Amino acid sequence: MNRKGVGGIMADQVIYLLLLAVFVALMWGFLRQQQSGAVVWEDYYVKEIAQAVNAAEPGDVLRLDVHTATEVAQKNHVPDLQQIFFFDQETQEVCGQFSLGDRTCFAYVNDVKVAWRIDLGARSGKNVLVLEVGV
Amino acid sequence: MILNRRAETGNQVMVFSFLFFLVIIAGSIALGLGLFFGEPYDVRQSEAQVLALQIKDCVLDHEVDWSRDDAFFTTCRFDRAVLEEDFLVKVHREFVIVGGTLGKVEEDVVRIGSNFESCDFVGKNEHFAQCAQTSFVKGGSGGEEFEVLVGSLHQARRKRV
Repeated sequence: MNRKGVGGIMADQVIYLLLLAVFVALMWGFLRQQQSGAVVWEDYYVKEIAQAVNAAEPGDVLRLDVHTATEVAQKNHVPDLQQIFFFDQETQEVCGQFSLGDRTCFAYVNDVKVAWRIDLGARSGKNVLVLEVGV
Repeated sequence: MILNRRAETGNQVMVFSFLFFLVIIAGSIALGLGLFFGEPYDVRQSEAQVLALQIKDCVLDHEVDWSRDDAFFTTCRFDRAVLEEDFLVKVHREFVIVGGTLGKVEEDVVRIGSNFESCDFVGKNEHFAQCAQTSFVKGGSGGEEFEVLVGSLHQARRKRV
């Protein structure tokens, strides 16, 4: 029986399996993020927050209801709710991360610095994002 | 050493069909999700309207030194990089010189981006910029006339943590 070249064919099959494994892993991660609705909520919240920051003046303090965002993040096992929003002062972006994985970011035009925190249960048991706008 | 290479080329070419199927499957899943969740939340139109009004308020409330390149950004407190990346902004100024030589001066004092024609396609193609326009006079009758055109192409970005 001629078995010369069998090693090469096996190597081909291993490459196929590796490619398939990488593909399945990527699709699995992508689907898990989409399934939770995290990406849709991130998109909504960062755009609304950016609009609010654009309309703000230095010295303003904004309080925004982010209760649904915190619920989505909790459902997706995000360990620290204070970390679900992030303001990048370099790129002037507000980012939201309601699941383990990537975050969604949206830039604001207003050239201000933003300090932020989440007050848990601050208003009638609702979680509130507090933004302090400065220069 | 003798290598058996019979039929190897055919085997290797199969990788393209394999990758093709992966792309088809990934595309189908992405398309299905897109149809299920719908289009992204679109704030471009309201963003363009708000920005046009903010520019109007700024020009009316402040004396912008148009001869300085960065005066518009510093006086109105707009981030230049963000505007240049995601927006179209045109501020057109007209005024009459009264004095020795009477003449009308027209100039674009701010011009960010170039494809302002895409604003004419609003309603025809949603992927073009969403635009807002406003015009006003500064300094009463005979003052400077301004036309502001703002277009937004602004989209959210996914970033690795």
